[in-house]
Amino acid sequence: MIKKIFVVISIMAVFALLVWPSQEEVEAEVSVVKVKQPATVEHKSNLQKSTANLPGKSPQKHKVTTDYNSNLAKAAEQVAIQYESALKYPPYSQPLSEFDEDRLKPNQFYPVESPIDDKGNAVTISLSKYRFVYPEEITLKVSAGGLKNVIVELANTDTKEIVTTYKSNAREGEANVIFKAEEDYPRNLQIFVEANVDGKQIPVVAQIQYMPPSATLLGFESAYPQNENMLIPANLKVAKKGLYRLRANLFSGDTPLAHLVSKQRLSKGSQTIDLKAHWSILPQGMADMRLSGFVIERMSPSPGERNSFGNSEVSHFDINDFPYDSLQQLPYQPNEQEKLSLEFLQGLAEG
Amino acid sequence: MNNTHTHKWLKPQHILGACLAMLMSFSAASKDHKIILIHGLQVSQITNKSGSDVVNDGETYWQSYWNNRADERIDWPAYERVEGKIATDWVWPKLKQLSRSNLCANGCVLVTHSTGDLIARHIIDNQANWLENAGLTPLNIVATFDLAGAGGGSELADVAVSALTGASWNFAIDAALRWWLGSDVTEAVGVLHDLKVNNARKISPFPDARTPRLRFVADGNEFLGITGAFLKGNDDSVVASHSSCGASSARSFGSCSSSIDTDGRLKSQSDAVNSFMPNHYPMMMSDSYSHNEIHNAQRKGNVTIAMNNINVDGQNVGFNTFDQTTGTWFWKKNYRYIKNSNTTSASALIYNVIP
Repeated sequence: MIKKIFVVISIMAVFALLVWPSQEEVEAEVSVVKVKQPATVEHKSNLQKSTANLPGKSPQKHKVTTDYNSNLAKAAEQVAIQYESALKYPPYSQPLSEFDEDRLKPNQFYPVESPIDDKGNAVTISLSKYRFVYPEEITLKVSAGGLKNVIVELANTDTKEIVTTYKSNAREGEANVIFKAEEDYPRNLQIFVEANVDGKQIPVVAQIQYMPPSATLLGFESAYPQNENMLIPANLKVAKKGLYRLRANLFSGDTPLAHLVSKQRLSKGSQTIDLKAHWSILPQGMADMRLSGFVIERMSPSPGERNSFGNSEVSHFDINDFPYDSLQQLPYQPNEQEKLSLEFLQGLAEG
Repeated sequence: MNNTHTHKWLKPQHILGACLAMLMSFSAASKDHKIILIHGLQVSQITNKSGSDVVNDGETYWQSYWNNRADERIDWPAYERVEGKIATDWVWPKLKQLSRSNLCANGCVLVTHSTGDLIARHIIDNQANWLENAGLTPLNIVATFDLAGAGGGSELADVAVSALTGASWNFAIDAALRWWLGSDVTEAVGVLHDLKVNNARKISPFPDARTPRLRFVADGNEFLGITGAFLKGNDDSVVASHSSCGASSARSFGSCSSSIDTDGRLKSQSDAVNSFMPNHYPMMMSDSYSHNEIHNAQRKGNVTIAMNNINVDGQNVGFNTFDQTTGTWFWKKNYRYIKNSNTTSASALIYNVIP
């Protein structure tokens, strides 16, 4: 009995020891260190000075040395600096990093899962892309441990009208299904899978888009310098006139350099639209680069008419020996809208 | 008879009401920038389409704090699609009205909650083209404040659409959906489809206008934490941090900041968001708020700033150089909170700094 009491007291003592310092932190006086945060790049030296004057290790080990005069305005100040920095690059030629997945994989389909149990097992639908353009066929994979067979129903997402149904047996936990291209598929398609997993029926729904191409990217002409930009003319065959947006990613080897976007009203027929890469994102010297990840979009002209997309006959375009030195190194001047947004952020930062 | 009526109208409480209304309108008018509200998903509209009053619902949605401080609202019904009738029948008439009234001449700020984030992105991408094609002047939208933004979609919507399309098969899913949507939703309709992760992330993903999207991220528990099991990484019980932070990928993330946790703890975050959607800037995080609390006035709780270290002209302009975690006790933790945030609602913190 005494032994048990001793054990309980020991546990309580250890517990109290563990908890005590954190309670002390909560009750401790918060030391406020005021730091002058630089509003602009020119104030960087002030920041260094402030940093240098900060106290080092606190002599009172229980004092919380966390906070200074931080408030929302301080956060806004930093956003304003970030935004101002982003405005050094024109909107048509934005820096791109290896982590910018949305721009690097603009037509990516995230696999959709339905849990089977509480152990993390799931039925998964995977597709090669989100948006399909006629005459592409739709290929999908259903996978799950213990998957026996699947019934896959293709339907109009909005009206629920069934377009076609497909049944398939699974092999080694996988069932692959192909729906042939059809020009009259509805734009919003729903793929409803009923998966038989060891006798249990698990539903999972994926939704995609299917549409006829509004334009086709045929290829590019040689890149050439014009003032502060490298221009790459793109040749398109336009099926439906309208305001078009062409996107592409520029790489140097495997390193992403920039996300390029160009917008222009195009008539039906053979048309050209210029992609522009600003000097500020280009590598110096004689550079070899590659364009890929093309997105051809006809923008929505009015709320009643949705955007539509085109396809491409080329997967990439190589740019060899582009002379960086032939570009004028003129800084980008933000437009009025961008200036107003920056002023707003700076106003926020003033609190 | 008419005089009698007049006297009836001039009761003290009416005069007081009129004065309050004037004060409220003055409050909204006192800002240099006009505030436009866009609400989130209203579940009651899914279950009761015929009985919905979209405008009244919109007013009720914001009544706790923002309604009397804003200049306009864009209301929309949850039983329609974002690119469908929400755009044609609800957003478009309001855009035309705003353009004609010149309300945004000196700059408008959108304040959005949840799905309102997605609708705002669709507006920012299209409003200039739509209005110009209609012979009208585009709106001058200088920034948005996105509270618990669902612009990156919600895995809960993926699960909900699967469950509502097929037969029920899992008790945990049934429970999560009951907490989120109630027990009356029997069919996947309208904006529930738009909230599926793939659909949401393909709606106007890269607007040309570089409007700053200022993100306010909740990380609190709601629904007993049941819904969180279906969301990737940290979540506010309805959307995951990949959406509310504005991450460029729908992956599992903890904090929006590499150096501050969502609860304000100053600690290196190995699972922080490493890339954001264009022009998305996280500003504020809090684990004191859940998804449905962050836009209300009643809830108060510690809020931290979601600042990331940034590199300007090759120089780091971060804050972590001031942070100290040394001490004898290895469990010592340091936190950073916005001043007085535990006594002020998140909405008030935001409203107070809008110029």
